[in-house]
Amino acid sequence: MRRLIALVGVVLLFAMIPGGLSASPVWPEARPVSIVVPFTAGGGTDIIARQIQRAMQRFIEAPLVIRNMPGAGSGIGTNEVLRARPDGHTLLLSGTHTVTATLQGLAAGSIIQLDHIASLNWDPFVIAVLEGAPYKTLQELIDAGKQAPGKVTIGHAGVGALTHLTSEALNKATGNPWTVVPFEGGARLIAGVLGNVVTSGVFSQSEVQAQAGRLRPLAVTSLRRTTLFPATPTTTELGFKNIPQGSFRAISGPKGIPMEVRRAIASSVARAMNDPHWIQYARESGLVKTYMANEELERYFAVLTLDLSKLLRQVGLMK
Amino acid sequence: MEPLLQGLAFVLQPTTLLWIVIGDIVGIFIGALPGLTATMGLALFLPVTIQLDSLTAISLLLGLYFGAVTGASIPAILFGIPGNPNAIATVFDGLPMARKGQAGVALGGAVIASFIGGLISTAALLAASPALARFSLLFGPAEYFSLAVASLTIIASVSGPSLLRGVVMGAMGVLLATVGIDTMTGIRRFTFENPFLASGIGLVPVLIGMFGITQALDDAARSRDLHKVVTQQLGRLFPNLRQLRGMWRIILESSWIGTFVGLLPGAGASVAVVLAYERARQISPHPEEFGTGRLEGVVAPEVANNACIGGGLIPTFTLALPAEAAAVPILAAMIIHGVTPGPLLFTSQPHFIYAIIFAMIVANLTTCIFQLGGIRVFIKALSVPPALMPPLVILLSVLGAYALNGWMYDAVVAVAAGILGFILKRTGYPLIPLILGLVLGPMMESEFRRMMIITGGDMTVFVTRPLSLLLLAAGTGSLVRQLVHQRRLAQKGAGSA
Repeated sequence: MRRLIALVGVVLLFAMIPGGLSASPVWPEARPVSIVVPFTAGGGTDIIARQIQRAMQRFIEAPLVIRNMPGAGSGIGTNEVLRARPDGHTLLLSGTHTVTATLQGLAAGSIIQLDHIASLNWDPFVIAVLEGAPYKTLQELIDAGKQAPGKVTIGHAGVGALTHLTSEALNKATGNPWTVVPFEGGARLIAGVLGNVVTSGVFSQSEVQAQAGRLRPLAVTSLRRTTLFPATPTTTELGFKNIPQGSFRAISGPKGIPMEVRRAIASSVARAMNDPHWIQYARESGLVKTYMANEELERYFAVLTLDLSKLLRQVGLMK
Repeated sequence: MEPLLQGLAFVLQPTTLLWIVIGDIVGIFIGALPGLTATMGLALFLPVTIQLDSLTAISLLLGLYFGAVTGASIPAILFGIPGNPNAIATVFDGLPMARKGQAGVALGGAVIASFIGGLISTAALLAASPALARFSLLFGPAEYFSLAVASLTIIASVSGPSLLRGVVMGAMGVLLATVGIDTMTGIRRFTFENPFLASGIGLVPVLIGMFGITQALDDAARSRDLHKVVTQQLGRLFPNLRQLRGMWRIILESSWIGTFVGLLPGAGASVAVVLAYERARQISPHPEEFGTGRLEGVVAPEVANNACIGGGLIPTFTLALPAEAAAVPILAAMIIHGVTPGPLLFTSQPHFIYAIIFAMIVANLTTCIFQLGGIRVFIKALSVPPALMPPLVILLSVLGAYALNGWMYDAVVAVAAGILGFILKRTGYPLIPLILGLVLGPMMESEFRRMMIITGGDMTVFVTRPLSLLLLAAGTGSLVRQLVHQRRLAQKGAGSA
């Protein structure tokens, strides 16, 4: 009996070794492709991941699965992908969060240890105040801060996250009028502004949209005005330079994916982004379409990394 | 009247009812499996709801939510494993009741209590949402800090015969909570370059370890009594009406504690249940019997954790502000489906709100029916041979901790917490202040520092803001009362000797 169990065990072990030895660079093979989302299910990045998954699924036969692996500011999920086999069956919903997490040493590797395959969008931030507040423009908020130092505050949704770097960058660009106050997550920040704990905050567009009538948007951190806030000026047109444009999102994988496979993944992302459902979703969420693939995206990530490392050094989160 | 009928008609449609029931059953399973939390279940089901219309989607999620919160009482009572944080306090008297052969009454009492708590908070949602939502915004960093201090003081001072030991354990919990990335500066504390430690010491693995594994080790250590202990009879399923009627005050007070704590973003059901439990002990004519298997001790936290659901949904619906982590997927479902939350929701789409209220009532009712019906099945779990029970509980605990994030690290934390808990229990140190310290430590620390950033270091805010002062006074009051009580006991002891 015992021998039988051992035998079955050995057979099972062999069965678990993936048949990767014969892998030809055709993507995808019949087994599932997983997209690791390094955040909890239901959050902003997760919702975008699930939308692109639905759109991509229309064009590929192998099942696409979302795996949520939250923790350590996206470091845990990134580690999972860094360790995976570079066969295009384990992908990462990467982006600016991956850059900041790796730069801060929250993942066991650097951003160049990933293959960046295709980018999806920028998701700009919105600087907003309480609807009843006396500030109608960003300039008024800046002036108020300069007149009463230490009295005007700007909240962000987490230390080391992009809203933090944005609030610090904006504060520096405008001559440090505000006190920057960290919160633990977007919901707490919203409560902080609604409850008059802080004067203003750096929000995602969807958060401000959900608070329509209670929060007043003053500026959007993007190059061009977005579909969600067409009446709100951008930080670029207001003349502030080097402000992060929000959250950038892309699809990456472990280093060493064959170029044919990378192209195949990139082209399925490109097709998904022309899917009417995705286009409608992106417009309704104010996402700024930004498609780049492979070499071009690798160069873009290098520039992002340089920019964000400057900001991280400025706030003392990087040695 | 018309929107009311529309709402009712919507919920009574067979398809809506079916989805609520599916949500309930899945929810009860999720709640009953240690390590799977309501938040996780809701997040996993969110994509499923994309295919449904908004109200059906939210009805399904509500069913799941009530099911999961109620279902968590099952492993808490039968095995002493609180599968998720809102069932911590259910263990205190639930497990002793099961050991006394009253598992049926405990499980039944928990379900009925959950039902009442859910209904009362649903009523609060219907009647006073806008006003209550404003209350949740009155809580700034100063108030949260004082709430944390007051809760921790109250728990530490009443958790056992020794005030000092309670305070020491509370402080130890606060200390453990400092592990991880500091949320105010991003500095890593006690992480030793380990990405898992950077995420901190999770509450759920510690809970599972300190209740499930500790209890199992304790049972194993005194295996001689175990035969007697686990010989179960089903007993009655329902607490009788007279018993429940006698608890009306505990039920009412637990409901409002649950609703109000539920309103506060970041406070959480684990705080509500412990406060409700302590309040029940204060009201009860037999405070000394708490912890030995009193029905009130099961009813109070179970009323409170379901009341937290309604409380947490109030700011979600009126302010688009999810107060409980589990409300995040519900808010996401509303936004995905194009429903804009806000005070206007109540005036512009009254049929929507009424439909949700009815869905909550139905979800409550069906959860209650399914779980009462299932008690006979759940209780079979106790027919496991007594010698197998401790290893089974340890196995379930380790699996539950692992299932939370799929990290071995969490399983290791659970085992370590179990061993530490066993040692502490044997040496007479109370575990509850430690757990509460772990929950409230981060809140206490970061709210204090946030307030200091905002005021530029002015500490008077904690006493000049009325709500904050009130909370600090409540904490101090409980401390003083306990000190006086202890002194009196000491004098009595000296007098009689």
